[in-house]
Amino acid sequence: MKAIWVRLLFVTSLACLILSAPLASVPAFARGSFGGGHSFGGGHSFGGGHSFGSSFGSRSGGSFGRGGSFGGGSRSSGGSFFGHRSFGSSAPRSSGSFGGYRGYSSSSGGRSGSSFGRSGSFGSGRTYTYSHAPYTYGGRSAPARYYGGFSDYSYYWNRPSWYYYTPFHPAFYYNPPIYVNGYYVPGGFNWFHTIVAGILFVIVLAFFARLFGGGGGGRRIRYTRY
Amino acid sequence: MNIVTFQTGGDWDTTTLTLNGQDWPAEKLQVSLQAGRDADGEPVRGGISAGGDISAQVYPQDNPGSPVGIFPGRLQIIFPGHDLIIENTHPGFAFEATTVLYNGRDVTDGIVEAVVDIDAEQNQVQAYITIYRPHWLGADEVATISFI
Repeated sequence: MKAIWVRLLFVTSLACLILSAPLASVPAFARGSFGGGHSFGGGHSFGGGHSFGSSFGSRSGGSFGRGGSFGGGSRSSGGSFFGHRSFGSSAPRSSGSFGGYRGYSSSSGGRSGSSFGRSGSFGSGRTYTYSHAPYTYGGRSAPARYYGGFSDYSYYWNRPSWYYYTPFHPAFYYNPPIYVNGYYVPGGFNWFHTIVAGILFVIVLAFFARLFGGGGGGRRIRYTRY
Repeated sequence: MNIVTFQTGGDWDTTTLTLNGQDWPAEKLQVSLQAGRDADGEPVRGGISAGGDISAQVYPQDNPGSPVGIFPGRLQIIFPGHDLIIENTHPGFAFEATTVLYNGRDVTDGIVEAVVDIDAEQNQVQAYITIYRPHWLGADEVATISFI
């Protein structure tokens, strides 16, 4: 009895570990902590670079103001002291080095420095790539941020197939995308579905264990007396 | 159809045996039901449907040398906290027509053994049933429940 529980616990833990691995690629605010993104504003206090942005805030050339823009766009390596990603989501910052305003959309107005508009790589944190084609979900079209990895399966939910509702498709483990300040972000990891999948997995495992003779040890019987 | 009821409160003074509602003085009551075992004699699920044999006899006080069979009929064994009913009304006493209820629950598909041995002359009382209980998780259980 104890042995089979230990086996089931091990297999379940392994399955959860595998299924939760994609979580590492999910952005924090995509996991529902939108407010948390603002708290990263504390990043300003760390930014020696903060002054950097302010000193060039006028942004005549634009590229200086961006600090890490030398990367040529998609992945910024310089000037990114902050893992901060969502700070600049409100107003277009000219000196985006600290703003974390990494993901300039090519469609965003008022921006002349389009070389930065394609990627959100500014900063050491997560990167994303805009979708130029508007993403439509729930009757609303907006650009979508793709972070790569499994979290992008969140965007599958605009036109779900039947098998997205089964544990065999990665989209099953991600929530639909969320509309935030004019763009879509991945909806985050769906723990509920993961738990359901885990329970189903255990049930199926137990079924086959019974079917094929109690987990490989043959049929086991315990005798009790009352 | 014989309707036999054995009832006891735990001692001889409270022990009665009736046939169709009438008191039936007897020396011995012996019931043996064996079922739910494979060819090696190991318990399996299935109970009565897995095959077996059954015998139930009463040795009347007036003629103890000639035991009387109970089946086809209905036998109810009542001990404090235990209520066992074994019924077989098949005219040919086919074994697969046997049904077993324990405390109101149908255990026909799980019964492995039922033994009742009441011997007033030898002052011996033995009664128990064995039920096969399959479990989804963990090993199946073969539970023996003693009535006394």
